[in-house]
Formats: sequence, structure tokens, C-alpha cells
Amino acid sequence: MATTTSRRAAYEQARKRRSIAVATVSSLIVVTAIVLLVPQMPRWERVRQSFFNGERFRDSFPRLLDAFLLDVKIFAWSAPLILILAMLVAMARNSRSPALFPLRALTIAYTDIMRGVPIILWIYLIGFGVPGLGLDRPWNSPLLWGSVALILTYASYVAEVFRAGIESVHESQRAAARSLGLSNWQTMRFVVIPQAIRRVVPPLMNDLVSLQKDVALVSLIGPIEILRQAGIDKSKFANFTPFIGAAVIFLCITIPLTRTTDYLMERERRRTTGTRVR
Amino acid sequence: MTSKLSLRDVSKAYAGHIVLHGVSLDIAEGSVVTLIGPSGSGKSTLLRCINLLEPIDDGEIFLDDVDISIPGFDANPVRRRIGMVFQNFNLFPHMSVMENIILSPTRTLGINKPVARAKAMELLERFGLADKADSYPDQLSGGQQQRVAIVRALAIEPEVLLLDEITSSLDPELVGEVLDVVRELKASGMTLILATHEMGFARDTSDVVCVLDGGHIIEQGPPSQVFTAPQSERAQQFLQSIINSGRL
Repeated sequence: MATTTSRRAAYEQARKRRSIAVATVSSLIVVTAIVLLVPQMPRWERVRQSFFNGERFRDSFPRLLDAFLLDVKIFAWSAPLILILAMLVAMARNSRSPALFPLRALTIAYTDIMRGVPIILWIYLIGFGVPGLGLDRPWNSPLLWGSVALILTYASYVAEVFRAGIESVHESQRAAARSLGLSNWQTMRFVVIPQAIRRVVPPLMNDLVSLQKDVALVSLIGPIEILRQAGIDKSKFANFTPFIGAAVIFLCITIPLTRTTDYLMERERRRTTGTRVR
Repeated sequence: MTSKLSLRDVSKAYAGHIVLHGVSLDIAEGSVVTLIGPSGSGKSTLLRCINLLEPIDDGEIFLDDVDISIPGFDANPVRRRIGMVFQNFNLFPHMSVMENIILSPTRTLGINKPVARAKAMELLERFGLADKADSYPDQLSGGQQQRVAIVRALAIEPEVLLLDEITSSLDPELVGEVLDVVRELKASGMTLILATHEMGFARDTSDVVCVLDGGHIIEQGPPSQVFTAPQSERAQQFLQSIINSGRL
């Protein structure tokens, strides 16, 4: 193999070398153009000062990191509740007993309403509305009701993901389970749901990445998390660099998560589809 | 009545399309009954109805003289007495062979895991699958998967086993190993009802052969009679077409 290269392999190699060369040259041209041309813009110096100010970055960064902890916390207590609520909703919606019709109708109304309104509106409505009922501390915390709004909206999206997963499990799997004497619930619990979850891990990860970012929306009703902290720093020094700092911190979390999701999707695709066509 | 299982005027329709027209059939304990007939003649539906996977519209199904087809009758205990094996195996892909087999015994019969495992291992050994206990379904050949599916159905110790075209999705060279299993089950005295296109097997192994067409049993009797001297014209046509295609 090492000494005699097949005609196909030689062709593929040449093609690959050519593609790499083209990609390298074109990337170099684009990067050079940006580096050379952007500073030529008339107000570049002012933009650099207000968005890419090294001193402001170093000063804000620790405070931003500190505030980011609150985002992580909100994410940490919301995500498990979202998954649990979403699974319950998906299962209720997939129930087949005629007696459960009211429950099915309720879950359909729930997913339609929660998904039909922007998240930010729910955060305002629930975050300001519920404490407005005159609840006492700690039940009037915007942090609490902001999280509730996130949980309720995200659970409706994730419930649809779970539902798709449950419906993707072939009817013959249920038939086999029922023919073995398993009850409807046992069939769900041991046969359908384990397969459904495996199939929806990639889209689920996608939703969790979105959640990680949308946690910042809770800042709109008060809690000082990273986005609000960046806003405070921006106002104090009349400089936008803290926003860049916040963006960097978000990217540090979301890029690895997104890459992992893509890897999982690719793995699932390889497992479930045949040989790739060129 | 001395029948293990008996069907009285069983009818079934899907959205106005009648699939079974008043089918009546008596199955003696320990006998092998084969359902043959063209695709769409109602063989699979009949088996699914016996397993209560499909509710019947009219008629009765008796298991040991108890009507199991009464609407609202608890199907789960019945299904533990009537096992079923499917054309496409329907093994659970997320479970190993062993987990597939012990799922129902541990969850529905309350047998504890070590005992269920030991019994499963015995069955696997009996059918030459002992080394596959920890494999996953997609690591096995079609014939092996179907034999595992049979073992899974046997693990709940059913009194009757329904086999729904269990060789139809197998490569020709794998059919034999599965049919050997069925022969062994017959020898062990199990009551078997099978839908099949394996005419030679039906002729050699069955006690009773039923020819279905358009939801009717058009011919019924011992294989020697059904395969050599069918009474109805439609059954004669069906058998002639099988003989012409070299399948008998």
C-alpha cells in the first residue's frame, strides 16, 4: 500500500492539496483585508477606544466573572426542572387513555401559549406580575419568578423535543413490549422513553445552549447577573468594553457546548444513516 | 370444549375496511396450527387479535374456555399466557440480549434478577445462543435476532406461542436455524399458531393448516388434505400458484 498508490488515492491527494492551498490563500486575503482596511475607517480610533479598551477590560473582567456565577446558578437550578417538567408534559401529551383527554388538551394549550409569546415577555409578565400580587419576602424575588418564567417557557420547547423523540420510536416496539405483558406505563418507562431520550440528546443540547444565553434575560427584571453588571460598568465609565468582556465569557461556555452537540449529532447521523454520498 | 384456544365468529375492520369476516377456529392444546394465504388475507391481524394487541369488533376469543375478548378485559395477564414473535424481531435495541429476555419476567412476574438471568441463560443455551447474552441486537445476524426474540417470548413461559411470519425478513440461508427452533418447540409440546409463507414447513410440521383469503378461512384441515385435495376453488388456485412458483 505504501509504495503503490492507487489511481483514486493519488487523485484524492492532489485534490486535497489543492483545496488546502485555495483555503489558505483566500483566508489570508480576507484576514489581511480586515486588518488593513478596518483601521482605515474614519472613526476606527474611537470605536477601538470604547469597545476594545484593554484597561477597561482588565478592570471589568473579574466583576463580570463574579456576576456570571449568578447566570450559572440560574442555569443550574432551571435546567433540571425544565427537563422534568418537559418530560411530564410530553408524556401527558402522548398518553392514549381517553380518560386523560382533558390533560392532553391542557398540555397542548400550555405548549401553544408558552411557545407563542417571546420569552422576554413572559419574564416581564411573570417576573413583575406575580410579585405584584403582594407576596412577602422571599416569595416576591424577581430572581425566583424570572427563573419560573424561564422554566415554563423552556419546558414547553423541550417538551416538543421529547414528544418528537417519543413519537419516533416505532409502533412495533410498543407492540413487542405489550405482547410480553408489560403495562402501558412499563412500556413507556422501559422501552419507549430510553430510546426516545437517546435520539433527542443533540436537539436537547441545542436548547440547553440557548438557555445558557437566555438566562441573561432575567437581568431585565432586576437581578445583577453578567449582562446587567456589564451595563453598570458601561454606564460608570462610558465605555462599551464590558460588553465585549461579557461576550467573551459567554463564548467560553457556549462554543465547547455547541461543538459537543455537533459531535453528538454527527455520531447519531453516522449510526442511523448509510454510507455517505459524495 | 376441550380447545386450548377457540375463536368464534371473530370480525375486525379498520376504518370501514373489513379484515376478518367471522373467523372461527379451534386450537387443541399442544397442536401446531398454520395460517397460510396471500398477503393481506388477515393472517397477521388474526394473530394480533388473539394477543389482544387489536381489539376485535365482533365474536369471541376463548382461552381455556374463558372469554378474553370481552371489552375492558385486562389484557396484560392474558399476554403473559400467549407469547408472540414478530416478523421484524422487534428486539429492544437499547438493551442487551439478556436484558431483553429478563425485562418481562422481572417486571411483570416479579421474579428476582438472578433467578431470571439463570433461567434466561438456560433458554439461550438450549437454542445455541449462550455466547450472545451480552451482545446487543444490532450485533447479531437476523437469524440470531429472531431466535433471541423467541427466547424472549418463552421466558415468560407462555401456554401458547404466536409466530407472525417469523422467517419472512430473513436471508434464505438463515431461515433453517429459526425453523429448527420451531420444530423443537413443537416437540416440547407447546401450542403454536404460526402465519407463514414457508409452505414446505407448513406441510411437514402442522397439525392443522388454515388457508385465509380476504378475511375468511376458506380451507381448513390436516396438511395432507389441504395441500393435496383442497375443497374450495379459491384454495385450489392459491395452492396451484404456490406449486407453479416452485415453493412446494
